[in-house]
Amino acid sequence: MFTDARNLPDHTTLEADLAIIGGGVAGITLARELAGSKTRVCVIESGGLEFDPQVQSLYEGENTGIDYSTSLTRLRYFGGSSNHWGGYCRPLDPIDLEPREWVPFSGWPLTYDELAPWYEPAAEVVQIAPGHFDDSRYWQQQTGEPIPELATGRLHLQFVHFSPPTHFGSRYRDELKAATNIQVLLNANVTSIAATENGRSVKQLAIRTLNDLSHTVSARYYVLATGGLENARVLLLSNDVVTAGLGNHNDQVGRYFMEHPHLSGFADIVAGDLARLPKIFRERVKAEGRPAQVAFNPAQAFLRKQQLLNATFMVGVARTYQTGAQSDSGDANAPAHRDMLLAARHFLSDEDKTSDPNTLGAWLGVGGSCEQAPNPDSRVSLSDQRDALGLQRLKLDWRLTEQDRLSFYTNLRSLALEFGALGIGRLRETAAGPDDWPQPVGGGSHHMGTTRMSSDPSRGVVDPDCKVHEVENLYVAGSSVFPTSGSANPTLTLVALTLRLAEHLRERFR
Amino acid sequence: MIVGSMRLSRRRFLLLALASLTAGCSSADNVEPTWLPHVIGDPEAAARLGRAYLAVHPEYYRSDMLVTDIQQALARFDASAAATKNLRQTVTALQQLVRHEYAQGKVEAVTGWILSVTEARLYALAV
Repeated sequence: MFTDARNLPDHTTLEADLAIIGGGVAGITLARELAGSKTRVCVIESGGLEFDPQVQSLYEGENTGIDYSTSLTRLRYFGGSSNHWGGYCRPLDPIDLEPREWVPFSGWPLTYDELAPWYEPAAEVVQIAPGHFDDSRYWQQQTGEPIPELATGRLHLQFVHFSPPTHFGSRYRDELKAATNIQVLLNANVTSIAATENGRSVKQLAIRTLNDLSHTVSARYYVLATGGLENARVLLLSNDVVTAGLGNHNDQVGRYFMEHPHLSGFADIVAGDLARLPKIFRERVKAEGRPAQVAFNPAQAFLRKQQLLNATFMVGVARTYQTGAQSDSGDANAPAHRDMLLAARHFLSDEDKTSDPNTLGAWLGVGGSCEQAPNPDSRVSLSDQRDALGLQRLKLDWRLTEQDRLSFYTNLRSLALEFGALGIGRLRETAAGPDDWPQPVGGGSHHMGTTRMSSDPSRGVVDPDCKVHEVENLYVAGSSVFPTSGSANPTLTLVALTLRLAEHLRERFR
Repeated sequence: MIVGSMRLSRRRFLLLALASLTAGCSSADNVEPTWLPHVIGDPEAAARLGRAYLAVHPEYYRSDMLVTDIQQALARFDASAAATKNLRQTVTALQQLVRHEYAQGKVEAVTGWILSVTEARLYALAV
């Protein structure tokens, strides 16, 4: 059942067994898992079924770190940020969960083997083909093209899957509507998670609507699933009993904010003969009806040896160059690309070049996304500015470190070496220099780490079950619980963790 | 004009240098190593990269120095290819050497391009 909170009588109180705050990827996934059970679920969503700029503006915030939009990187209506999701799916690498002595605050309180079984059902949720994320042989069979063995020992291949992408709101709306045990409350803003006097459990949720109604939801258990920025903000705003904010006894809420720095314009690759570069290396190729493409990642042994952070690179054809006269007007890169292709012709193509002999080569654009080390000073806190509900807006101070930057450049160098060693292409570093980040530094709209998971309450906000350490009946779902980010897009992993949380909650309700 | 005189000067040095080299090279009348046109593509494009390399490597003020270092790198990589007079074998070995250097991380940035050291020296020979 879907209910618009703006149409309820003022001061309505709703009761449920489980209240899920947020109707995005995590919230909908969790509700679906409990659909048809005896558990009464109430999903509380700030937005409606469609985009509304007035609701969206509640996401606006102050920015004191790297220039970053707190409102454009997420969407506040049913389905959440899946409504603008790109669909990239890949599991974390095992090393991402390990404590790494060279990565401060690294180490998940669960092993990769504990997480891995949840990826297959998560793949189903996001409508991708299961598995084969690093199985070159499988993709070779599927595509009919040889997948070259990498030559440097620095990189390995991953095969990124692409969700349609699944827009959770539209995809799963009817399913939730049909579930008699689920109520979805739309246009309902949780303004505070009200704690009991000792601050050890949640007694109810205070809800406000933009037409100025106040409601209450009370439940046995609560799951906060409002995204990596808002999860921290809601906890910090819930400060009527614990003045530092609920779950924030140890000043951990909002800290360790991580993005995947997404960079562009930092490198070009020229390839002399695209026949040497399997199609799946440079574009999405379907296997069993589902698209996938190669990503280049640092080999785990290389990460350990060089003490690096993780990274992901993908390439795609930006332009092809012809052998004869061709207008390069407007392409400032063309002279350098042509020179490189002409000079290295014998290294990059065969005498009996199999592809079009009139083609000199191709320019491959490079996309990069990298892991940033957890940093307590990279954080979300509350601003003095207020939103339309009178709540303090969030203040984001996203910071990157020298370690992040040096790792990026070393990983980029690996890509250059690999393309050279395979005789495929030459890479040009076009960033100003290794002393600076390539500009602009953007993000992937991946908000992680602000309610990090740790067995130690002094080092994290939630425990390995995603329960807030100091609060008996409050859980957090979403990528805010990631202690480290890896370099894989977070959606598949956050769905996997949510499925795992659902299993835990089912036990609680049994 | 400057470029032209540099090229002339290098070729003169190369002539002298190659008089003492036999393996992999043509007679002294032909100053260019016979394999050079088979490993670099367009000479003018290669020369533009080569000049950038030489600008940061003033120690290569004579072409024979480049040839010597290329030959030595080849000999370390594949002694028989360095010694043979079989052009095809030498060319193939040089191509493999360049790939090997990428795999080993023996590279240098030349105007931003990450190039194998031998490859960059080959381009410098085109100057």
